[in-house]
Amino acid sequence: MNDSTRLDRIRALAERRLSAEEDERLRRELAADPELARLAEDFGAVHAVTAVLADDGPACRTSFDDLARAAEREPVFRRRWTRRVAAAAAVALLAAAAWYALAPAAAPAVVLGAIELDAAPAPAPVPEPPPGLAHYDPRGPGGVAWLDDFQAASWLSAASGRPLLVFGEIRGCPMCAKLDVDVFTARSVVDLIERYVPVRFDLDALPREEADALMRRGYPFLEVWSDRLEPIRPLSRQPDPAFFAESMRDGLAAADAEGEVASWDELRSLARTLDRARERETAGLFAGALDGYRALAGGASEPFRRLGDCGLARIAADARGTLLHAREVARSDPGGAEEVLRRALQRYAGTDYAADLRAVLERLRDSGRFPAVTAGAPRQPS
Amino acid sequence: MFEEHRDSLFRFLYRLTRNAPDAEDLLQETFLAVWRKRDRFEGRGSAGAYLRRTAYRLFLNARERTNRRAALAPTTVGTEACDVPGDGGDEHERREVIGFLAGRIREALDGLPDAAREAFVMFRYEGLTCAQIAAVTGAPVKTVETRVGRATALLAARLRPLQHHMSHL
Repeated sequence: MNDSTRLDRIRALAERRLSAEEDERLRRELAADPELARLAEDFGAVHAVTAVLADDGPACRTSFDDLARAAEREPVFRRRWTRRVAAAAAVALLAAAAWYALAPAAAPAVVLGAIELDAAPAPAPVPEPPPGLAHYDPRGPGGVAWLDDFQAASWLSAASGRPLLVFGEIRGCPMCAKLDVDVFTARSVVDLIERYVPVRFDLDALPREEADALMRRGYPFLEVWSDRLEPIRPLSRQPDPAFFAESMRDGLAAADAEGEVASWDELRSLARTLDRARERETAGLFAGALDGYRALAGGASEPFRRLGDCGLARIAADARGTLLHAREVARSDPGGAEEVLRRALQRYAGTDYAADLRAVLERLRDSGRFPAVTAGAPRQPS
Repeated sequence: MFEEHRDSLFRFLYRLTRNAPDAEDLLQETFLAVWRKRDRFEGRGSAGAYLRRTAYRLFLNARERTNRRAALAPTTVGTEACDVPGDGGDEHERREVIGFLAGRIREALDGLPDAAREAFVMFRYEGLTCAQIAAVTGAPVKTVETRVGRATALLAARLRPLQHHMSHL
């Protein structure tokens, strides 16, 4: 044979074309050279998989007549120019100037009981729960109801005390389709998924290196992760529900998540409270919104507590902003400032902030000037 | 000569260009170039090797002219859409697996550096030895070995996880 380089012989090995003697000699070489052995192993794996494309490609359609015709008219390789698309973007810059001046206080200051004059530091962004959590159940009617947002799934994992069941797939993967049909609809698996937060993602959507690194850990990618997105344990990839259910039970043990956890009903109830509070806030019914946020802020679930605190802080900031805005408007338009405060009173009806706004509005009406305001005694946070 | 080498040369060019119309164009250009310069062929090597060498040179020229691989990019590369499973049958499943794997392999090949991809394609699919690839490309044999080895390592990283799909074929 003419195969001369090491690679040629490695290919011949993969294609079983070596004689017994050559085979034996190459295997001795591989045993003595780990780098070569690795190359042989890689090539064997690649050779096996890439066999799928061995007969790939359409049949040639060029005939001898085509060639003869082309020869007559001087051949020119027809290049297919790719259209170049140019995009232009225009950026507009806005300049803004802000100035503050206090109106001269002609009367005793209004002492504020609820509105904080000093701007509170902006609260850190709070991760959001999965949309639709108020109606979410991982046991969907057609099998496992997957989430597709890692941040939301991580949030839910922390809020519910359940580990993540992570499923990474490639679109169109037949193995994944088989898992969908045979495993993720099986009763035993769907029952157990109640103990997990199932999240599914498209490996192709990740940067290539990241996807490759995950796929090297197993494909289809199935692992149990913590709420901090740390891997805990791989799961079975066999398209067999019994194996998979067993693997899920092992995953729960490894994640130390076999004890009591909040029920999905409780979680949905908290999510509904949050949804209602936000709806009321959006509708300008702040008393109802504050009730909801306070209920969440005083609850046992840390992620929901943070969302409640965030809602309370947002409304407090709105109250302060409204007061400062009215003061600004009053400098040139006291009537306009009255209107600002009247509208705000509708939103804040039934809240502690309403008393402050009403006191300022009355003083403004009486004097025609925006009153001086001062902070009351420090209050405990709600 | 045309009849004898047409199909193998077309397949060679198709694997390089990943595009049938471009491969057909280059095929014509190759034969015409060889015909125009037939007096230069000294008959020392095989006609097939001479054709491949010419085709490869023309392929490189075309690629350089367009100055970007996208101009010779495949129009059909990518993961084929698979039918929704459900109509049953091993053959259906087998076709799905093949379609899926083919898409991933093409993607992985496309992701290789040009020189490594070309060397690997010639080595793996054309069955050329490293020395023959060196003769086609004009690169030293050692360089060809390095390119094929590099391509193998990169492809192994991407394709090894798909190996178990082969058991479904």
